[in-house]
Amino acid sequence: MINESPKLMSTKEAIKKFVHDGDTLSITSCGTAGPYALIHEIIRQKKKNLTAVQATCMHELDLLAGCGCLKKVISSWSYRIVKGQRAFDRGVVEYNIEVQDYTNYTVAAMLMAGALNLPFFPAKPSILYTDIWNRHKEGMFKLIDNPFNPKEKVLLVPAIKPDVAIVHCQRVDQDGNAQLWGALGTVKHGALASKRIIVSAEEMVPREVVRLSPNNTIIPGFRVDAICIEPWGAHPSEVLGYYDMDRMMVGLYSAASVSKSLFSSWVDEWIYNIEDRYHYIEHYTDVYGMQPLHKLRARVYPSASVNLGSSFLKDMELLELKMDDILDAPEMFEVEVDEN
Amino acid sequence: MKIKTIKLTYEEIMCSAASRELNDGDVVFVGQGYPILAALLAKKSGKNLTLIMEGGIIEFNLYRPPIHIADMTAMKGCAASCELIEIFGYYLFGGYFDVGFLGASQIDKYGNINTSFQRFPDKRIAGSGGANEIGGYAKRIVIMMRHGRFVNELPYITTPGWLKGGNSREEAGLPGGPHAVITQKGVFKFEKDTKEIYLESIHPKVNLKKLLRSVPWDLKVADDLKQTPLPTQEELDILRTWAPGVSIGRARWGFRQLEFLKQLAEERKQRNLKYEQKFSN
Repeated sequence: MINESPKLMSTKEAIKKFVHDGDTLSITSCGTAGPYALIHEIIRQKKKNLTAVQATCMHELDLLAGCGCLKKVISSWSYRIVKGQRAFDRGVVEYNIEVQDYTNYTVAAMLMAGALNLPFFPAKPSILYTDIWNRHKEGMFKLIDNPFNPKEKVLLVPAIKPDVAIVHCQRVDQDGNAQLWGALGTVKHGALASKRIIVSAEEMVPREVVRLSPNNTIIPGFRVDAICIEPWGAHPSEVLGYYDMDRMMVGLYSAASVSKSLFSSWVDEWIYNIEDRYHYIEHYTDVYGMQPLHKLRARVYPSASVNLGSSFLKDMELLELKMDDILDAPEMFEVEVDEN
Repeated sequence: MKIKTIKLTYEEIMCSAASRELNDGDVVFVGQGYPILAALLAKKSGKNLTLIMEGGIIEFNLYRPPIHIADMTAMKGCAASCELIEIFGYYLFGGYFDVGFLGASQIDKYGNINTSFQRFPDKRIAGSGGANEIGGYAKRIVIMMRHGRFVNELPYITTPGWLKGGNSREEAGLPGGPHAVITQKGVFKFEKDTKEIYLESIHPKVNLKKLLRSVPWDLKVADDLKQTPLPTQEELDILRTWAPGVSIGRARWGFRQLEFLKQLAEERKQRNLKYEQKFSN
């Protein structure tokens, strides 16, 4: 049975079990397929003092900072379509959040070093001529002499090994093999650098599907700790092959984020007073009807299939050997075996 | 001579002017916002460009303007998809990008860019994203600045331009450098030796005196200051049918979307009310 996976659990259970106060949290998405079902649950469970790592964010960090879940942010860019103060900015002041300001490449490099289990990774010197370097906080960068060429300076960023990663992807099998396709951003390294990995997926598929498309697997099952099946789990962001970004909902949120009272009523309506993702979508259709969701649904546009075949000939068949040919080999010798 | 009047917006002029800064055959690292619209305009008007997006999408065309660096609207018919770090490592640091196409909120005399803080450290804007490295390693930087301004001293330098002018960028070991800045008022280029920015062409109906006053230093102006060429009718048609948000302004576009959502909610409420009344009677 497909549902017999020991890793399969509700989002509530997964967050309770694997995200602890004070953890370093890797939010793996870069815009596309934001793990919003998991983020909303983290907020509902009022997790505290998290350090969030995300290169480019839509409003994942805005939500977490505004709801008081964070003590530190390692990031590079956030989506700000509406001018003015955001929940993130108010959160920085109210909860005294430390913000480490990096670039997309350097966040990706820190996660890659973590994923490859290396201590640090070089960055490019373009940073040295900007305030990203001039105003950096202790421990963000180190400038050393290149040990192979002492005339050259090398800028380093430390590896990050987050405690837990949250990933939203298209599909997963019962072993946890997680498949993501489209622009990959920092998802793979963001997940593989982390000690624990929570995967939420649009759907669970039989093992055979994964094994007929192994190039799409970005996290092998043995690294995955929890599997949550959350259709529309990335709404209002998008999932290739499933649905588009709900730009109107993103706009609605952006407009709410600018004021404290609007933000708090948005969060009450869409997170605190909602039990889970199923009820979130139910509430959405209650308010706006099915029409907006129908418009977002992806049309069918399948990839060209590839041949994963080889000759499938075994050595015996290739060399046309028979068992007798092997037994007749001069290396063979005889020993006596007790038949009992 | 026959004179006809056409209607257009400064955003449309900006996109068309910026698209002219891309040459046939360029490999372009495209930033979000107006740069991607201008790059697509160039591509849709027939230039052969390889467009690359930071989130890991190579050689794409778009059926709709995207809003972030891994926007899935770019996936239909792209040549390759990969990870963010591959775009930087393999292609940008390898020197394969002819153009880095960036947005900016503030620019100084030498094309250094701020996209991080309106005021350090409390007034935050978007952040670097990929801009720092793109500005450092693409051969030609083309910058579009719609809402931003020129300032004497940036409150925060996010992206290196010509640094302190002259040879300073070369001495720092950074290749390439800023090539053009396009704003709502004009097109700016950089002097060959000093690397100081100057006004190359001015958009129609823009007052030169006002423009000069909006720049906090004595802005140099090209001896043969021209008017920025208007977008062709074909360009306008492409922009308006493909990215109506450009023509009517993105803020108004966003507002329209919110209105649409409100209307849906209202319709829904009315329908529920009718339904309840029907069954309570």
